[in-house]
Amino acid sequence: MAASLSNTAGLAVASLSNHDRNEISIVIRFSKNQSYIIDIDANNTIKDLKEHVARESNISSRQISFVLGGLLLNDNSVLKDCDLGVCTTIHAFCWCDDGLNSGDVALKIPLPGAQGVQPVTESQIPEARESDVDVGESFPVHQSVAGGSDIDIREPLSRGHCSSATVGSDVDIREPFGRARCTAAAIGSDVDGAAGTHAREKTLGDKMCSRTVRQNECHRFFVFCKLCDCIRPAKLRLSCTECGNGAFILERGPSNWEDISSNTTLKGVCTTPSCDCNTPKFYLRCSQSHEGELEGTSVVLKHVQSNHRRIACIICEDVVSHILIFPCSLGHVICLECFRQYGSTCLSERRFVEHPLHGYTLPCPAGCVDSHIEESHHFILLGPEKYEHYKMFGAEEYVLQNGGVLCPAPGCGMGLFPEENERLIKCQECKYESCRNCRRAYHTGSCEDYFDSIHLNLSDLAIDDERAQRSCWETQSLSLIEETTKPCPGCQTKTERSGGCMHMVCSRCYQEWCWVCVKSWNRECQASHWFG
Amino acid sequence: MAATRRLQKELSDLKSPNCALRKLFRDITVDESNILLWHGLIVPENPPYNKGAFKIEISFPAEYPFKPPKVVFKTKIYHPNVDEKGQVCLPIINAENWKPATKTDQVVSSLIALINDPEPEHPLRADLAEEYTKDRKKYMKNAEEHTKKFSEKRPAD
Repeated sequence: MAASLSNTAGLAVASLSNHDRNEISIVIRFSKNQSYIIDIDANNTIKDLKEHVARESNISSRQISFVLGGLLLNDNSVLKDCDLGVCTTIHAFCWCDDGLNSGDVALKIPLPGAQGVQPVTESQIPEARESDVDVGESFPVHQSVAGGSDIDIREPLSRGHCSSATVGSDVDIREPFGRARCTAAAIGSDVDGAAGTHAREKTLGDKMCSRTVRQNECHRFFVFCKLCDCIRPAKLRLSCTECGNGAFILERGPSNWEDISSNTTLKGVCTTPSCDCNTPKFYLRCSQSHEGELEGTSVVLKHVQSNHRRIACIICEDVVSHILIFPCSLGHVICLECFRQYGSTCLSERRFVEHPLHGYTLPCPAGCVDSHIEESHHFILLGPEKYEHYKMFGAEEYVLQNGGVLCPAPGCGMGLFPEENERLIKCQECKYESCRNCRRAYHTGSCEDYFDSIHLNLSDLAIDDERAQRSCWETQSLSLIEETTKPCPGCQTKTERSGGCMHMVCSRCYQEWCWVCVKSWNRECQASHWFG
Repeated sequence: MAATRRLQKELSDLKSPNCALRKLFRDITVDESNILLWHGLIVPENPPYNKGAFKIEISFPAEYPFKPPKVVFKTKIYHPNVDEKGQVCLPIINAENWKPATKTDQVVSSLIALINDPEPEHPLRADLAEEYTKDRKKYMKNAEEHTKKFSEKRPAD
């Protein structure tokens, strides 16, 4: 064993390697300026680690407590079972003789009442399936950086953690959270402080869920890391909302997405002596070691998961390691490659749908009712170019769905919300004036007369060569559009027919119309010119 | 390519002895160089089409299964929902209704259902739809004669 003191909050430790397979490096962080890097055999217990830290720090081991991912670490837990990655930061704090914060930590933690922890023997905890392990091959070794409580996302909230009888194989795989995470039961039973800090901590530690999980269980959360430019396993971190201290003890582990949202109802205790805040702030970060400011560098992909149940993709029927699960009751699974193709095809055909809650999004490929991608950042998986298209189309769709129009000037496309009965539409951006009815330049008289006039007038115009050339080019392009498209009788959108029958459905206003008559689809069209 | 992998699986499922459609849709052939073009034989059970069998061609776009396949009859059929060129409008493969999770066996089942029970309210051939609705006896006679004259031989088993 060896230990060294670091004043840089452990940031430089990521490069440390372990010569011995059993030896792991752990960053013990008391505060911003007080952290220790401990190299210790993974077969040691938390208690051994405390004694080790005690020697380094001159603090009694009885007064030291460790917090990982918002939960106190139990003295009897063995390090190798504690979900520790490379240089994982464990937050530490000291119990003073008169109790933490010279107040009562226990009093601040709400009692969970009847949902107390059921003591369970090890044999009752279901074995992690061997098939859960394969994920590690395709993802780099997990690393943590200092600052904030690190939870290695491979196991943070999964079923194996919990010493509760209700844990079982029925854990819903759509939920990355294990259901039956233990609650911090009966913490307040030892509030008088007379029994000493160690006893109190023991109560806390024993009643809190102990982190007995297997090293290689699959990752539960994923982010798209902008720094890595790809999907990465994520680690969940938390800190105190007020003071930012990572040594924040949760009343219980989070059990769903709401628990880790910004509106979380999950409470806990901040170990900063002067801080009374009881609300944690959660965030998911790329599991890779990145230095510097990480705010906004990764986006959470809540539908992406490891395929530990080996479910086949609904499209290609392959069983792959990483999947996206739609929120329908059946939880339809699509592999990431098919999701990219599905998204790209639907995007190019403008088949995304505008959802009142989730915005411009994709439905379940099986057509399940109200099952959509609920978070638009998933479309970043389509690639940077498609993602830009997605954002633009989404904005356009919003404008059109809400009664607006898009400026028809080439290269503009500004979304405009003109007065209801106004035919003249003036673009605020490029100042182009267009006609609401025919979407050409604004004109007096009827749209048909105007179209005829622009074709007739061209040859009569005496203008300079350069201008004439440009004008011809645009007219040519205009003519091409006029020749190859027909306007939807509902919304006038110029529509090209690339194949199929004559029964058109407008992708913009959903009007059903006949390519031959350019009128609403009717029985006559059905009988006479379905196929032209 | 998702299309190739998926079509290979679908093909082997359709050719499997356990396939529910094995008697109704058979002789499936696929050009080795182009898995996107299938040919097969529809063997309807309802009169008057149970007097023969009908060749169909299913063409899959490169974007399959994100875009629907097209189905065309290669054998002439006297049917209000199939036009003279063999084109048929199946709602399940309509671009608006298409779901990438839909499988070819569902498409073929839907086609067989349409052949067995014509939908005269959505006709491609108004004359046949009218005959079917107004003079079923005459329709059955004409369709049976047409089937005997133009359709393929039904497999023995």
